[in-house]
Amino acid sequence: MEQGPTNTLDPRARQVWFIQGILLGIILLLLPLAYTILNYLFWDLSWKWAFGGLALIFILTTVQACILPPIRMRIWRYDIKEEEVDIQHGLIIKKRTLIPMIRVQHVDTEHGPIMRHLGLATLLISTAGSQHRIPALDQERAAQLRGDISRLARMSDEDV
Amino acid sequence: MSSYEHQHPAQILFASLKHLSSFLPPMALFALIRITEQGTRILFLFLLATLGLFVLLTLYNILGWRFFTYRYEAGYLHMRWGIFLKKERSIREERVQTINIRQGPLQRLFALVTLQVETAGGTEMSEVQLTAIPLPRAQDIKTALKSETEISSGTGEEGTEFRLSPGQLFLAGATSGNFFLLFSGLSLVFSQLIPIIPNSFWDLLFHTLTSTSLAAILLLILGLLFLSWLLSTLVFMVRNALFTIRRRDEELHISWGLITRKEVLLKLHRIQAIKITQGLLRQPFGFSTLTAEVAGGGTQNQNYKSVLAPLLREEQISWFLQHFLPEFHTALTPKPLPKRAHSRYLIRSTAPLVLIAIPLLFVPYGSLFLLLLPLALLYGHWRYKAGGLGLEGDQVVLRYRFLAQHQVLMPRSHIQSLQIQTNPLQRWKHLSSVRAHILSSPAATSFSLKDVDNGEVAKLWHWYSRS
Repeated sequence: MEQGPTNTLDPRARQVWFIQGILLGIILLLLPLAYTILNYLFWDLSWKWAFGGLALIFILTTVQACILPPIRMRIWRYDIKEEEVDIQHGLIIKKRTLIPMIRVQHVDTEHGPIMRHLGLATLLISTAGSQHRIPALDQERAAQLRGDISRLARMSDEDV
Repeated sequence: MSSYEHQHPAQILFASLKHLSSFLPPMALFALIRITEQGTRILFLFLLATLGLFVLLTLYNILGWRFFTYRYEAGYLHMRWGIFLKKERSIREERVQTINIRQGPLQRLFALVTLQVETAGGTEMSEVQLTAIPLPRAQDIKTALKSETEISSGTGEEGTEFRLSPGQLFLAGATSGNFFLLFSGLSLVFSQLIPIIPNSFWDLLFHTLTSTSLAAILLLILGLLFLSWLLSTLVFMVRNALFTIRRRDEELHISWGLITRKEVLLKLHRIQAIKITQGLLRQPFGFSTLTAEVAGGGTQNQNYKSVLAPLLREEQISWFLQHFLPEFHTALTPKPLPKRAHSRYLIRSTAPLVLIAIPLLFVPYGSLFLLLLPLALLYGHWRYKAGGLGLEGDQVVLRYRFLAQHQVLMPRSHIQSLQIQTNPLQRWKHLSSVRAHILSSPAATSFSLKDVDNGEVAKLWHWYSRS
């Protein structure tokens, strides 16, 4: 309990979050764009709002893509021990989760296009009553962990 | 042992037809609406649209089929799927609850079957299906996943029994608190009936019984309240009459109801937690209700939260548990929350009120709203008082309150995962919130308690941790 888990995520996670942040920013750009076009065609409102929106999106994207990823990288920690999985995350609201191996129902890995490109995957650990995730692990490591957890979960099996 | 394989290509047809069938009713309805204007042309259009949709769905399902592969070995079933988002899943035999094999008429044409594997849990992911595999293959997989069946020790002796006496039944109904709901319903009905109420009723109300209109209205409300209380008590009594619970070996038999008699057979190992609830109205009398959180076997099996005892006096609880569920014990009293959590509970209950009150201060009479403040403080204090955490042996007790006070008993072996959460203010005061997830149907649930002393949390963590 006293000292938290020790393993960190794959450093490439920062790239994933960076790209995701940028993509979100680009999608959000459609809003001021739509406003501008509509304003030009139909309305005659102030242009200020479009610039305000742009500024807001710029700030949001900077935070999402540049500021948060290193912080997230630092605070995400996990440990996979023989008998349990220990996960800690959250900067302001800190969450620490303990999942005994014998409670693990199944382990999934998941990766979208960005993660696949970078060779990363998210590990999803399900118990009968909850689901937990460890984002952005090296694909091989995730597959290996999936196997490990399945094996360990099987070994330490008693009753459901 | 096998390598990753596709299902039978007929799967594409099955999936397309299944998807199509969900599109057809709204399309048919639309066609039906337009049939008067368009005549038979709409029929042609409808057929064309159906065909087009079918082609599209088939194309999509070809991809789905192409990317879905499975593999099995002794004790395992592995699956991979997903066109863009790749997913992999391994199911191991220990987790399998049921395996069903069934065959529809269309599948019979291709000599294929559906294999459905259910694992424990209320999550959407707790069920997987292979919809187009040959029967021998399905049987192979079933053998690969077949876990040894449980052996029950059928001694067959008659266990203890608990019956709710008519007096208790009445008390339980009278304090059930359901009448508030009924009251709002009755008031609505009454307001609709006003035009047809005979004048003699109003005469009676306004002149014979009372002198002022305020008193008349009060009397009316009280009358309606009494009526709804009476009705709800009656309904409760009819529904729960002859409540009987009996323990036999590893099973609890529960039956209740006067008109429709209901029966539930609860296997002991399916009980995940016991909840002792003191409703608002029951508190002054020291009455509690005992319910069980039950892990279900399937979606059609209702009644997950089974009532074990509709009404028990405080001193009866441990007797009841000893006789029916000796696996659980209530001897321990939860340790109350530390003093420094008190202010946090008070702030939590009053903060929303204050936030609402601030704009109201600028409205005439808006400041009257602040009269609710003492109530909110009282509520916060009350919740603080109820909060408690206790550990004994392999069982944890959480006590907390919303309006009713709940006390949840959870054995360690049924807690699926444990979560400790802190915000900066809690960290400053060395307090944490704890949350325990348990399996319950139809959806998994969790129980939590806020602002527990960090020392106690550490104890809980070590108690739960295996290393």
